[in-house]
Amino acid sequence: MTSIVIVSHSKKIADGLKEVLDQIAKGVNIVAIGGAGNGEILGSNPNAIKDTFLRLSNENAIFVVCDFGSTVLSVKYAINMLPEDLKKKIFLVDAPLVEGAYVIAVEASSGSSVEEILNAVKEIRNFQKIPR
Amino acid sequence: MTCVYTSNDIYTFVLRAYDIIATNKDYLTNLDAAIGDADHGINMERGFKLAVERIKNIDPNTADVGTILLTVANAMLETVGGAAGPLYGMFFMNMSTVSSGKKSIDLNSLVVMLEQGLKGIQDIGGGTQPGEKTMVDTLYPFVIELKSQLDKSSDCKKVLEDALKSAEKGMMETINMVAKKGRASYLGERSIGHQDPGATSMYLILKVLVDIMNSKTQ
Repeated sequence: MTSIVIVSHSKKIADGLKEVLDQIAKGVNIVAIGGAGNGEILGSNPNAIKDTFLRLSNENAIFVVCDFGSTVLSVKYAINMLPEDLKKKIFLVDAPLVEGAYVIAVEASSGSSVEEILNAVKEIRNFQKIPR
Repeated sequence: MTCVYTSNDIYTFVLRAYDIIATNKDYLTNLDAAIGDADHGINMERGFKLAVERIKNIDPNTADVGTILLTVANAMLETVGGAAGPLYGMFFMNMSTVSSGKKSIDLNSLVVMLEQGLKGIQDIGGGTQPGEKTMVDTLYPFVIELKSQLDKSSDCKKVLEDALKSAEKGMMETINMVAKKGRASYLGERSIGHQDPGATSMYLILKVLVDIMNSKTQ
């Protein structure tokens, strides 16, 4: 199975995005991690992110989308701490949080390969939301 | 002259690092307000406060240095929240790995610990180098100076003070640097003229480490 891990400074943002993705992406496991501490502090908790990855170690692929700044550093820290075989299954994508997570969810739920999903993420980075 | 840090010294280091960060909480936050998001002092104080709470469950007479530093690493990781969380978390985590099982560390071991801590910060920061207006601008010259002085001198007080002077110089040099990492980098040239908050908190922490040796060797 494929998992999408959403990492945001805010628990509300992460949970809200999970709510959206759960509706559109059947068969994809969506995990929301928001905030530092237990989610009560705005920021990120690298240990919680690491523990989440370890829980998902049986997945075929784990895509990670972050908002900005410290969440990216926290995910990089967490990946650093993982066994090599699990590291290989984790794909930290460089994309806007909502759009990136959305396109991964759509692609993963329609059975796209990891490579196809990563290509779709690249395209979304240049996507023009409002046609001119 | 005893040029070693015992577990008791490292325990004291954590308590005093919390004190100095708490004392400078507003100062660090104000530095961050100029070029970041005005939370560095608040975040660091929260991290060290938890570290102090947790090390109270450790007996420094029996614990190894690695265990004390691991406790600090996890407190930073779990509660700092901002970028300083994974950066200082990685720093203390790598230092704890190298000092695992050791009840005292000499200055050569300290160099190895700090080198590994520095490497961790550079790795997750995306290959951070000196000159990019970060905590590396303080830590890097400290490690380089400590290493080179150790080859020349056996006066550990002088060796550490020279390293601290290099760290302070590095911190002051961040004022004229253009930020290349983190939120301050969004400001580009406008980040010039402001001292980096991460370089400053790193200096305060290294200062505590040096002060502890000074108070032993006097």
